[in-house]
This record gives sequence, C-alpha cells and structure tokens, in this order.
Amino acid sequence: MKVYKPDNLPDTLHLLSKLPGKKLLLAGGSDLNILIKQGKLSDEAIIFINHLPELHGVDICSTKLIIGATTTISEISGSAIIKEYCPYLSDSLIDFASPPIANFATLAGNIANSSPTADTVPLLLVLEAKLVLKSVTTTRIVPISEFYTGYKKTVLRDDEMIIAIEIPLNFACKYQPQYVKIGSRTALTIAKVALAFVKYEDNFRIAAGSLNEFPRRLYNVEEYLTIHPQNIDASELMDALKMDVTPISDFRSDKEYRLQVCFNYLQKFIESANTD
Amino acid sequence: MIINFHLNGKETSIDTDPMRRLLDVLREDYKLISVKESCGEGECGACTVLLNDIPVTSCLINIIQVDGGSVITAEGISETPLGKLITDCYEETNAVQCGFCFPGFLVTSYHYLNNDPDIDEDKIKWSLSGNICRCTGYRKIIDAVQLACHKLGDQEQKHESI
Repeated sequence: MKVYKPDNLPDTLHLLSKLPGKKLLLAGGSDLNILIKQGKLSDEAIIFINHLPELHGVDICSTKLIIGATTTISEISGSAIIKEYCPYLSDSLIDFASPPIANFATLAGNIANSSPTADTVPLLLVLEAKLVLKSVTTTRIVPISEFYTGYKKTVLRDDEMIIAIEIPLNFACKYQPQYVKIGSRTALTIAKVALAFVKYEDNFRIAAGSLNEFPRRLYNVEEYLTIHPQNIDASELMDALKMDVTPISDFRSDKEYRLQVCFNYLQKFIESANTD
Repeated sequence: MIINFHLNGKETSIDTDPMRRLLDVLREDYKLISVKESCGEGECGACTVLLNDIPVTSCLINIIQVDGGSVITAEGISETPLGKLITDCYEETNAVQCGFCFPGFLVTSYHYLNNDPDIDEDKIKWSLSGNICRCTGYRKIIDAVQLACHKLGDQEQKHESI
C-alpha cells in the first residue's frame, strides 16, 4: 500500500491521472480503516487529502451552498451558514454515527463510499444537491440522483474526485423536509430504513436509503401523490412504493419489515404535510 | 514517513508507516495504554482521544492524519484540574466498574465539560453516545457528569464572589 501526501489540489489531480490501478482518497478514514482492518485492501494507492485547505469548509454564494470535500459531518451540522440557510441538513446530521465519528468523517466520503445505507444521501437527494467532480482536464457537475449506477458503482472516473457538494439555495432555505432514520438503537446505528420527505407547493420530493442498491428518489410515489393530492388510496400508494424500492433481507433486517416501515412513515409524513 | 505532532502537550516526532492506526502508535510506541481497543470499528469509544481538541475514535484514524496536529489522551487529561474533578465525580457516583471504558468516557466527558458544561440530561447522553459501557448501565455515568457540572458551577460562583 503506497501512500501519497500531495501539496495541493493540482498535484492531487495529477496523481489521480498518472497513477495506474485503483486509487483511494483518504480524508476522514472512518470507512477506509475498516476495510484495511478486514484485509480488503492490498495494492491500492492511498492519496491523503485532509490537509488541503482548498477542499475544506462551507461557503455560500448567491444561488448555492458549497461544501468542500473534506468538511466533516460535525463541521457541517455546526456551521452557522448551514444552520441559517439549510437548517434541515444541520438538524438531520445529528443522527449521523456518533459525535466522535462525525468529528472526522466527511460528507464527500459518505457519498463516495457508496453504501446503500449512506445516511447523508437521502437528505441530499431531496435537496437536489450536485457533486463537483474534477480531474486534471475536466470539471463536471453531476446531480446526486445521477451519481450512482449500481451497488457500490458510480459515474466517478478513475482520474476524478469529488471536490465539493453544492446545494441549491432557493429550495434549501425555503422548505423544511422531514427525515427519519430507523435502526436498532438511536446512536451509532446503521439504518434499516431512511426516508426523507418534503411537500412543496403541489409537488413532492421523497428519497429513501437502505431500500435499494443505492439511496434513490421515489419517483413513482412522488408522481402518485402529485396526481392524487387528497384521495390517497393505501394500496395504490403501496403499489407505487413497490415500483420504487427493492428491499432485501440481511442480518440487519428483513425486506417485509423494511417495506412496511417505509410505507408507515410515508403515510405519516403525507398526513403531517397535508395538515400543515 | 516522519510525523510531527504534539502529544499531551509535548512536541514529538515519529518515523513510521503513515497508515498505522493512531491507536496502535499510542499504545505500542508511546506506551499510552489508557487508549483501549475493543471493537476496532469506532463503535465502542474505548479508544477515544482528543485530536486538535475534538474527540475521535483513534482506531479509525491513521497516524498521517495527526501530522502537524495535537493529540491528548486520558493520561494527559488526568493531569489537569478538570480531569481530576471528573475522575473524582465518577468515583463518587460509582460510575466505574471494570474500568475498561473509563479512559474513553473521561476524554469525552472532559471535552463536554470543557466546552459546554450543561446539566441537561439529553445533551449529556448525546455527547456520550459514542461511548459504550457494558458494566454499569449509564445512569451513574450521567450522574457523574451532572455532578461535575454542579461542581464546576460552584467553583465559578466561588471565583465570582472572590
């Protein structure tokens, strides 16, 4: 395992493009170190990026919030800018892992690790966040809904890295989505089901984690609710949900439980949105 | 790779594999054995230390991440007046049984009391939620932190009246 500590972002991008084989970027390391302990890494090149100031911090411009790739979960939830312009994100990140892990785990790391249960992704999906992917020669801005292509698969090329996460301000500061994470305990749990939900004007944005190969928007449910804003039929809603999710049974939970809990919270969120 | 950092207030330098876990370097190279390994996956908090004054699980931190920073372990904290006060409070409420988790709780409690010594139980529970104890249950641990809040408040009052 060869470790690199580049001096700046251009050098980092250069390393990504010139090193052969698999490269892993290390910022917080909360996921990476578990893989190392399990013996799942051997000849990957590790590029350490946590010390690069250009990748760190929360910024705001007229249309969006910009979160640098190495900003930690605690820094984001404690950020005065996030509290003011995207309180939903600040509040929801309280449920992320535990304080000592949130203190060094990063948002970009949670996204790039590509877990089906990634806590932050459903939150970012309803905010329609965008990822800034950079290589030596290219910069792409990819909506987070288009980032994943399969289980642990993303559109990120070998020579690219996530340098920032952008959150559009017009939505983030206006609407307060609801979020629930169901696990075996409150703290330090891996979600069996996660659901983020928001009704705005006559539309919906709904996203779920732990119910598919990667967290995704529930477009069929959204469409059903937009067409039937008042007269919701439970079995039709369930049919729409089943078109959006493919829960599995594993050591953490079983598929029937996951589907039912997601459905129950969906109904609960719809009811509370309709009474507001 | 040469890693330079402050350890319990003193400058130090070590030439080692940059991917070694901070936990292993502290225990094996510096013989700071308050830093315990239990789960090795960041869940139990027995290996908690302060990195740049913030609690982290040292089993998930690589030594390269510490370069240029500062690390404080339970050994360092127990030398401070606040560390001594916390230890006394844990003793007074019988919050320590086997003692394996205590260094981690000491580090987390120290950070909590040093930054925002609020007696609110939910706040204390949240801030200690990364530390697991399998002996006592958590009631006495929460009592210890609340007692420390009271004692800190008393000290402040005395200070003000002087």
